Amino acid sequence: MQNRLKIERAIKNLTQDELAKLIGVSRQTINSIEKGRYVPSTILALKISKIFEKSVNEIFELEDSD
Amino acid sequence: METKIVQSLLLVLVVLSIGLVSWLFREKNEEAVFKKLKLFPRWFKFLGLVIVICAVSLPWIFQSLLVDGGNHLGSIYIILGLFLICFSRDKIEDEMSNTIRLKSFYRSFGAGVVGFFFLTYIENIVSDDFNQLHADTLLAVILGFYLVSYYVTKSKIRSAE
Repeated sequence: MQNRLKIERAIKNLTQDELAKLIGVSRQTINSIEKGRYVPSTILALKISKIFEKSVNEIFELEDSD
Repeated sequence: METKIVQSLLLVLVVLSIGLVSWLFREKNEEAVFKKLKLFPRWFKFLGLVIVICAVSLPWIFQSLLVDGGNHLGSIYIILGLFLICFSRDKIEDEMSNTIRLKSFYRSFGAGVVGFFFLTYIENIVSDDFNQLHADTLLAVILGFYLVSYYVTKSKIRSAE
């Protein structure tokens, strides 16, 4: 699964740590999501989309391999 | 007198373990399995460490706690200490750390089965009699492997940043 988390974070001028605190996870979790190592749950994806005021589909995108 | 002390300490373990596990698994509804893992508060980690240190050292200071000249009671209390360390929260506990915990439990159970066969084999090479692995050794292998797996995975994630 691909994601635009890093770009969206840059647009909002948020650090990984700030985003992590906003949604109640560790900075390592945000880093792992950005690098595509960890696929977040629906709840976490919805929390992220709420912060960036965009739909989940605009931030996360399925790949052919998924 | 010494047997009474040992029996009392073992009874304390039984009551404590029932209480602790009941607290962990108290949610009875079926959907609880999909929720985040229920864990002890963070300070239980330090309590577990103190129990491990006391279990290793105290029986050698108070010799009445030694059974047949060995620290058998201590090796049983070490399991309680490891259990508290393994089942207590980290500073930040989220869904990724939950996933790492589950993976580590999965790996450590597998390692426990292999460890059981391997250590029983070694025991029977060294000794002339047929000996099976003791439960405390097996539980220590499982809990110890879990801790190693969990913290190694977390540090790998941190170092990959």
